[in-house]
Amino acid sequence: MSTTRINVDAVERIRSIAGEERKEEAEFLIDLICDEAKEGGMSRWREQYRKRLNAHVADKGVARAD
Amino acid sequence: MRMWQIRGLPVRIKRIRLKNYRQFLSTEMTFAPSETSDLHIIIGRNGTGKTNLLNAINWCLYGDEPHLSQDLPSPCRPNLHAVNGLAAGDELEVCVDVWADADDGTEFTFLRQEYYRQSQEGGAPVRTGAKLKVGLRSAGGDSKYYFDAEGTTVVERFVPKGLRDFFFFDGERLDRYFKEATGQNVRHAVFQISRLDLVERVEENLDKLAIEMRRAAGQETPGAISAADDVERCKNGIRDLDSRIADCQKQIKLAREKFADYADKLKDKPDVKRLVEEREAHQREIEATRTLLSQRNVERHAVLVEGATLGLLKAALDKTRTIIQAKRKRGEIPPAISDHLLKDSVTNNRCTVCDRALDHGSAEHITDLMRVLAESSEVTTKLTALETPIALHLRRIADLPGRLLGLARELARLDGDVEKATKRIAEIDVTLGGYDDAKIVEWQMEYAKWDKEVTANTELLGGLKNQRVGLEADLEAARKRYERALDVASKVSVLRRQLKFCEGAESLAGEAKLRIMTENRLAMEAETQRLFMDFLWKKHTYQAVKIDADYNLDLIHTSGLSWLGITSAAERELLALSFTLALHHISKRDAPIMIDTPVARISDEHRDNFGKILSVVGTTRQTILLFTPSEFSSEIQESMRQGAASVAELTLQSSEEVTTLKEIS
Repeated sequence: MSTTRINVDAVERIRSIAGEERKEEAEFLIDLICDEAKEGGMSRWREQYRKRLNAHVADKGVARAD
Repeated sequence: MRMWQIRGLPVRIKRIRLKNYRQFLSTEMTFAPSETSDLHIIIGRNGTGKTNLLNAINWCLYGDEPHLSQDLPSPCRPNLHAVNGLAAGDELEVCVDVWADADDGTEFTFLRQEYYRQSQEGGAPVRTGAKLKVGLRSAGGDSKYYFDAEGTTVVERFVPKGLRDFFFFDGERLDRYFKEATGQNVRHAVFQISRLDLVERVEENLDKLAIEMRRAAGQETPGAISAADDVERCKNGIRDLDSRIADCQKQIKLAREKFADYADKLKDKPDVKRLVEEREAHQREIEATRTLLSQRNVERHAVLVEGATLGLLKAALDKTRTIIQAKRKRGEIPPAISDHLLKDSVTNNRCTVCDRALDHGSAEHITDLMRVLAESSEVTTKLTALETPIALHLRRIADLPGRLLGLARELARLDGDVEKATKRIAEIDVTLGGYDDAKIVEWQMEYAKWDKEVTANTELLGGLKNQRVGLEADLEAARKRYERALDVASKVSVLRRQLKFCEGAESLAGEAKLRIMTENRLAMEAETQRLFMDFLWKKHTYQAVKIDADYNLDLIHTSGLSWLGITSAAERELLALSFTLALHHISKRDAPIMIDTPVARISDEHRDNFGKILSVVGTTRQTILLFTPSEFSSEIQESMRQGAASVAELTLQSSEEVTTLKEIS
């Protein structure tokens, strides 16, 4: 069973505040929140955050962080 | 990823089983709803284990017992009767089991067990282990179990630990909730229901990541290191100031509450400190006046004695003065004559005037003349010498009535002063009569202390806010310096863009947090007001419930004035109950509510009203109420008993070690 406990209101609110202009940042943030929500949280958060950051910045056509 | 959540689903406790837990050797309670109500009443005298039922639920779900008396050391958790029956090496299991159902047919079981073993040396058994087991059975019959840390995660979905105080609590909480640090309590509650813990954790981690990235970029561009450090230092400083500002605001709130409490206590009470000081001043004044009175009386006595003496002499004095005046009038008091010419004539035997030699007869004649002159001068001198004291004595005699009158007036005035001061002391004694002077003075000192505390912290808060404004300006300047430094090194542009992206996400998290908190605050305000106005027995007293931007909750009177500080205990508790139920609604957690001694702090006249309200609450959600027999008065019984789905009684057996449960209806 997945015990994800994402706050749906928060996710919707982040998307609505971000709008189109900050859509990428919003999705990055939501991904991180989903990662944190996974059972037990993230023991190696730094790596996970960098991975997500690389993926999102790369999506925007920016070079990788590492 | 399948989302699993209880949130939004009505959940109710079906059964609680307690084994070897405190007073409960082996007890099972079932909570079946009736057609119209899910209100369950448990009555028990003090010591039968009502509060330990609240502890049992907390222990089963969260592993602690927050309702143990703070004044006593934690008593042994295993039941004493069971412990007494243990032989060396025997094992004992303590467990609390809670069964709950969700509306979609899912069944939950929460079981916490603790194991003990009796040692060879005797005494209390030694704890050897513990575990939490959470079972989930879907409506289709699929079962799954979670243990310990995993189990705790499931419990968090049921009723999060941070919100448990809104579901399982004692009546005292309703009474004190809006008395102490209200803004902080309300903010904490809104934060909990907003479930922003994850957003906040991500925001914090993004901040850490941004710091690391700034450092990394700084290493590529040495000039940026100090700017990055400054940015970090300013951010840390602002965070630290925010924490100190929050503490300070909390302290101001607390000091204001305490100040209001003591103001309330001192309302209509005399200003004992001032009156005691005034009484002491009057007593000192009486003592000083009495000393003066005594002196004046001695003086008066002396004047009277002097008057009597002079009175006896007056006739003689008058006569003597008359004689002198008559003599003077007749010229019998000549002016003093110098006899040096005569003396010279006798000594030289020659007339000092004509320079002729004196014959025997002339010399004798001059000698006789000198004798007569000497006698006449002596009388004149004596009479003249008497004249001044006589006049003085006569003047003193004439002054006597005036002096006596002056003294009499002063004595009367001093007597009046003593009487006035004595009367005032009597008035003060009447004013202070029946009061515990020391207690009121202690309250006055506390009142002054908290007043000072509010002022000091308000000044401190102003200072901290000014510091924050300064640090924000420093931060902005440091950021600009950092940007300029990075501009110099184009090779860090990638890192810079990533950092900007990271900071953008962090800022977004902050904005979302603020907006959700604000929306939930306003939703809580509206729902609390709706419930409070619906429940309240007085329909025309209040116009609104407000939760301001600092999360301070207030009750607004129809006159538009703030009314929370002076509302009755019953209305304040109703407001706290409305806030609690609003929180259930806004958080979409339709979980049971269990209240220990719900009306203990409400006066008799309002118990009936409150009982009716709790009955209504019992028709909308599972409500378990724990009463003492005296609290479950005839008024409460009348308003609640018929509507209750179940009523049970706890009885402590004569051994005082085991409680039994009996269904009454």
